[in-house]
Amino acid sequence: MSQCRSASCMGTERPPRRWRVPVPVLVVGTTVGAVAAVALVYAASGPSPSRRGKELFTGAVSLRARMTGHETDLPPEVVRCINCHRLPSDTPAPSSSKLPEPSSSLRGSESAPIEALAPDLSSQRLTQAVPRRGGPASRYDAQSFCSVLRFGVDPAHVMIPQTMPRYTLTEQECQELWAYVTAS
Amino acid sequence: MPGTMGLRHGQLSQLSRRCFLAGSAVAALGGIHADAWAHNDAGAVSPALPPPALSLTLHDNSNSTLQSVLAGRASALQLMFTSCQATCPIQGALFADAAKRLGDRLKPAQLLSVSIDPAHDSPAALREWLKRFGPSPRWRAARPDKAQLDSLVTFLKSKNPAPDPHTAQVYFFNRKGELVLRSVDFPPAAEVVRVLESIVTKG
Repeated sequence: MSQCRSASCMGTERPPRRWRVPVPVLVVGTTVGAVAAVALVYAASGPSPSRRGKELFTGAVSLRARMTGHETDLPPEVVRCINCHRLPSDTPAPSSSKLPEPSSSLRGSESAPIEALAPDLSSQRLTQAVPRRGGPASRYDAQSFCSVLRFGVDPAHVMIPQTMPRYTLTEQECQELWAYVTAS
Repeated sequence: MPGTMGLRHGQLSQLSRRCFLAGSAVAALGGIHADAWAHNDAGAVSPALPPPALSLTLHDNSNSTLQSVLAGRASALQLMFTSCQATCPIQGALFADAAKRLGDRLKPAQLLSVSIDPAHDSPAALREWLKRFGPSPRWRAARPDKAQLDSLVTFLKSKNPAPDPHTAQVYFFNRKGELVLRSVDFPPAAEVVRVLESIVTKG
């Protein structure tokens, strides 16, 4: 004995069942979904370390630093890396010595070129094994780069001049700055 | 005349001891950090030295001389120039901090920033520079007469080998307007105030 389970067998015709979503709900739902998708994509990628490093280097994002032995931080605008250092792509060179008509007491020779105050930074200069500050040949890596920024000690364990402030940096900020200066 | 020679040696020895003790006392009163002695041109100046004759134009457009500006006050002087991007902003921030710490106390004390680029640092540029860090009635800026600048730099021993043409030292003057102390580079603001306080207290 066969059993008829379909509606037609039972003599009553039912229309096929459909999902009916109100239009306003559909619009809102779609919009929310799209926004969430964009946010997810942005969060996943984020600004690149190099881009973030540039913001730190130029002062677009503030850094914390103070002079050796001082008890208070300096204003962020006076401790920007770009105040003293230049990258290969930078022009003109930042310099502390832009004296158009130098005093003879201040310069040994009026024809002597004026140097940038601090070493230029580039991937090559940082990562090549070269003698620095009278020490043995050394090269920077991410870790020693952080060390020189924080404590003023270079890869050969030589102290850099106290003219350079000492920075309070997170590990991430160090990595981002390193990524930026070695990308050039 | 061995006796006389012996006496002279004794007197000289005593004088040297006195000079040494006097110098130590000045340094101690000046509150100078021990590290200062490691710097060639840092430390107490004994005897105190009067500055060279120097005409100044102050940031408020008034004309004066260095001696007049220094007379009657304990003074901390730094050399700078307004287009300097590296060390001078730090010097400016430190003097701004010192001015803030001085506040209304130690009225006979003042801070003075003197430009080493008088050709370009007009009173307006100096005003703008002070404004950048936070102006204070305790802090003035001035440009010297260009022809007299060398004498000031030589007197202060501020000549610096390249690349930075000036040191970041602070020079302290007593109320007679005489140089009594050269600091190390970038002395902390608290130290600047402490030395000024010491000078004011000594009278």
